[in-house]
Amino acid sequence: MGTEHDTDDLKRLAPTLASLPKADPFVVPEGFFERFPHQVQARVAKPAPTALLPVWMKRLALALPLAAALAGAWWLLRAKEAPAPEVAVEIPEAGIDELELLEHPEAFAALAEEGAPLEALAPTSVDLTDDELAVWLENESTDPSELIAEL
Amino acid sequence: MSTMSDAELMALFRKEETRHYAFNLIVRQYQQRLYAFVRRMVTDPDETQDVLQNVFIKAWNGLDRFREDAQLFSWLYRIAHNESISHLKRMRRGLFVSEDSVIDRLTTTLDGSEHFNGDAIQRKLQRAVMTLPTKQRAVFTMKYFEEMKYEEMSRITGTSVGALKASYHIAVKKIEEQLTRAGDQTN
Repeated sequence: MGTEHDTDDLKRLAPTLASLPKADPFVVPEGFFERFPHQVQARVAKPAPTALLPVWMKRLALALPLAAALAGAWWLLRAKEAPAPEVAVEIPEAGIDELELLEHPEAFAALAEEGAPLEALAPTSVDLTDDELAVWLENESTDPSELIAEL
Repeated sequence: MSTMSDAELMALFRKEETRHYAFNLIVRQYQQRLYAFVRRMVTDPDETQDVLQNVFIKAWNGLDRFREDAQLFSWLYRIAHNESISHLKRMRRGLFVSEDSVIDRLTTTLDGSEHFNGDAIQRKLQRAVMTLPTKQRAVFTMKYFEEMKYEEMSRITGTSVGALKASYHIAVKKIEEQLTRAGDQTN
């Protein structure tokens, strides 16, 4: 409660205010204080509502679909404005010289020197000695009937 | 109605079978003092009822965590103080207006209310109180009408005693100025 010192201060600072009676001019509706405890009891007796989401989660729940919709719209607009460039895949045709090169064992030897293993270049794994390979390459373009005749 | 001590009320509240009974006693014991404060803050009797209900609902939900080294009344008063200020903030946000507009609305409510029976000077005092910013009005109400000590007000508002004294001093000066304004004595 207020002290004498407070009252003196008030008289000195605000004499008009200090002279007013401290009446409560607000009228309380009739029977309010009899009804009110029952109203409060009725509210606390209600089953607790399901756990409410925190405010930030509610805001996030609203903001996320909106952000997704905006991002989608932006992406669609961009896609319409700038059509996707045609991808031109150029497959270089091998020149005749290059194809001929492949028929010579020197070409494989050169590749092998560059570090590429021969096994990786061959379509199947065949164990041949260099001599056998040379014979095979020599005979590759030969008609099989001529080979049979030689035998 | 005979009053019970905080310790007695809390002892009853902690027992499951007397929990509701104890809470009913708490409401009955403190409703009038809290009503007076909230009514002076929000003015309108219906809004006062809503705010006061929210105060006690919050008290019900938080009473388990109430530390018994504090006074139950101060604790309830703190909730009432915060709820009243939140209510006025919500009102301002809801109306999309400034604090001055809220003050205008409160003054109009006061003028048109059949639930106000003060004389001309009382009406003038209340209108002057209404012109104070929300937090300053709370400080003035606690000190002038409720005659609280600054230390208790500090516990309730979470503001330092020095700041409360300064706030009250400014509020008193403003109100005195309005009360003594020439040619406006009886409005």
